[in-house]
Amino acid sequence: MVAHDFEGKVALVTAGASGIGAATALGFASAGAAVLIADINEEDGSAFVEQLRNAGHRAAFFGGDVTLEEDVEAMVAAAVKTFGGLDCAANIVGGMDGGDFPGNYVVESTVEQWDGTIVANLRATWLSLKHEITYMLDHGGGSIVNISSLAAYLGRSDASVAYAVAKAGIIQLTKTTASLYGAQGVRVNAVAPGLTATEGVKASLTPEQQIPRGHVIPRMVEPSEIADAILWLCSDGSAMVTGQTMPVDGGWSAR
Amino acid sequence: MNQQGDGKHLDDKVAVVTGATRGIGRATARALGRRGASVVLVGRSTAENRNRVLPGTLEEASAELAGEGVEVLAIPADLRSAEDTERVVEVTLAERGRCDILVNNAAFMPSGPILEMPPRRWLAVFRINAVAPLQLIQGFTPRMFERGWGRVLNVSSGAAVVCPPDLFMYGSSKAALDRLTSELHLEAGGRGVSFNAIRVGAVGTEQWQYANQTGILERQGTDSAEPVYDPVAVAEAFTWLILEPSDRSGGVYSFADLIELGSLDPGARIA
Repeated sequence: MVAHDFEGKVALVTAGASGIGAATALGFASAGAAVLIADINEEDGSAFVEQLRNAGHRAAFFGGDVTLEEDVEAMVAAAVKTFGGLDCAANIVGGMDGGDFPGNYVVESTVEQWDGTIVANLRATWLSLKHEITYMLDHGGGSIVNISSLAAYLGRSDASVAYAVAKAGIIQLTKTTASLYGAQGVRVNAVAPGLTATEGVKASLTPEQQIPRGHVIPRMVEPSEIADAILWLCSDGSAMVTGQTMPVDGGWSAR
Repeated sequence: MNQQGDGKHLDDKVAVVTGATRGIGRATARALGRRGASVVLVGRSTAENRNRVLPGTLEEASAELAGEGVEVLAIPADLRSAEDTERVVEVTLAERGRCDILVNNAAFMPSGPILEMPPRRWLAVFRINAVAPLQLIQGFTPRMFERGWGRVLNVSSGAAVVCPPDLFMYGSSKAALDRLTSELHLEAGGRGVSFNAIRVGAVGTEQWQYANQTGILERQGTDSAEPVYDPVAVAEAFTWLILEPSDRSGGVYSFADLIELGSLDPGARIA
């Protein structure tokens, strides 16, 4: 983990209880930020927050579903109430939902699967942006990072069609939002992870599959390496970077 | 002083150490095990339920001791839960028949401005740092009194006396633990069972290393010029107190006291 200084800053991380979200929350906390971890899984989220607190970090948990607008509003309000502001946000919530699954393509997908995945990625990210930016515009700006995916770049990925389309949508949502609010001090970028070694992903892959053929660098991306990119995009080091989607994919997108 | 466990003085003793996954707890369990005690490790971090901030699991701590020939039993438990705490007593009594040495070491140390911390967090801190120790003491001392031999060592902190406001919840719970220790001595000391507390200062545990690297010590205002002791030396001091006769009871010892008594090596510092 590259050292950043987020001392005195408040960061919000959705899907922060596990995987890339947990690595990002730990990254922000280690760099001195107070972190609000939002997740639908209250048990894992609360346990992680207590581990962070016990190590001396400032962290709090918000249990909610960011596909629901009232939860998103309450989440942003919780960050402000608990830690006095909101400077950075990592909108990690995504994945396949509604029964959607990897390898579920155009002909096979059902409306429920399509909608489930589109809502879990696009609606969740848009709603998070909406309420994070509403606060940031009135309080001196901020920096936000969304999560796209390598699947957004490939004609045919191992993900579902709805997932690839939703993650491509995140790239445009990132550009549009960055263009609209950059002049008012809000930066918005995205990270497009390659195959990332979260516990969930590792459990679902055979040892051979864990050396992704697409990566130029022949290993999976560590969650902390996605977090590194997110922290840099939230830091002053990237002050003139906005609207961009940065692949962190071991070179896959360069092929 | 500071014998490395060559003499086996605790051969027929069962020791329960909470917070034994890493740090002072792990070092203490090892020191007691090396002196022949059968050791029961209590902790939360397991291979299945890792701590995502600090390294180590109960399985690793347990394997390390077993590898050194120590009889070891690991009980995963979350001392926030009264049921889990009760289970520590039940499993220990079922598997080992008794507990002769209880080291209440597990602790919860959140930090933050007093006015901004939810009051329920104070309850959680007291639950882990003061109430769970009492629950374990109540569970284990009846057998100690029956057998006429027992040691209760509560791991307190210099924060019980003075600490930055950010650590007030922790410090106040340790003050309560100190009082619990001396009151227990008044109520029940002198029947072969001792009740003591050690107010630890800065110790170079995994948690300290992490807090040092991440600037947490600086933020908490605890990065003073105070020396940072080696956990192994601290565990040796704990062991010395446990090996003392039971009439050494009711004491609340600081590191300075232990150095004066010759049980803590003032040179065993990592910083």
